[in-house]
Amino acid sequence: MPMQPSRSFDESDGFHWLTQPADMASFMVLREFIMDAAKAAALSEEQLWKLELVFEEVVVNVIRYAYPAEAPDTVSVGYAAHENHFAVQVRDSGKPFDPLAGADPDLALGIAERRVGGLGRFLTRQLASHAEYARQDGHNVLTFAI
Amino acid sequence: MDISSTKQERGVLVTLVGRMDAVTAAQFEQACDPWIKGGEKNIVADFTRLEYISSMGLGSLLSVAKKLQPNGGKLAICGLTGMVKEVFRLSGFDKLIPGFENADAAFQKL
Repeated sequence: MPMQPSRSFDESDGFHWLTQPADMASFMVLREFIMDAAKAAALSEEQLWKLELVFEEVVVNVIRYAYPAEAPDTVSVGYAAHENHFAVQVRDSGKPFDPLAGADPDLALGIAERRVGGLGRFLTRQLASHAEYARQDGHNVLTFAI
Repeated sequence: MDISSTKQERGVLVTLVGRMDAVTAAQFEQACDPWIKGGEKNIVADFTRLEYISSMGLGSLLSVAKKLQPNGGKLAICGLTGMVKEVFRLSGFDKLIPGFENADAAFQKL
């Protein structure tokens, strides 16, 4: 059963939801759910790759880090297609975690000093026209728009 | 993602076709590791037919570049196009990993 979207977000009422186990096999199902809707909403090629990239960064983060290995749970993704933007919300019931918080990677560093992590968060902030994190009713709620 | 690697005169050419995402990114490291262990210094990744890259793909590239560096080796890219080129620019990878028009030009400069 899809979780009920929170009502405290203006956009939540119009969201279409899909809930899956938070694992990599489900990631492909969730991605298809979102990308099919985005294509049906006639997003441009540029909007589509930006959406796909931000979606991957956010959802894979949940799959990898939200739950301990011995207690897996679900991730819910919702979308709302609007005339001038496409909004996505990702919800999990894992430990509180704001995926948008943290310093940007230092782009001036060389190969030896550059860290492998942190790039997903950076690209999310660069590519989403809007991105917002909230902790609501025991859930991490990440909303972004393209 | 389809990936193949071949030994050339001046290094190893790795050709990637498809998508380098959270599901497939590790394939690149897996393709490069045996060459690096075998003493190869320079690797050129041909991105001409790569359609998509995420931060997981960038992380896999950075890991390989880090492994090559202590032996005086380098990773270079050729054939950057479309969203892959844009993601390289946004993430500063265009300054981190040298990019060339084609594999010949890359091997000449490495």
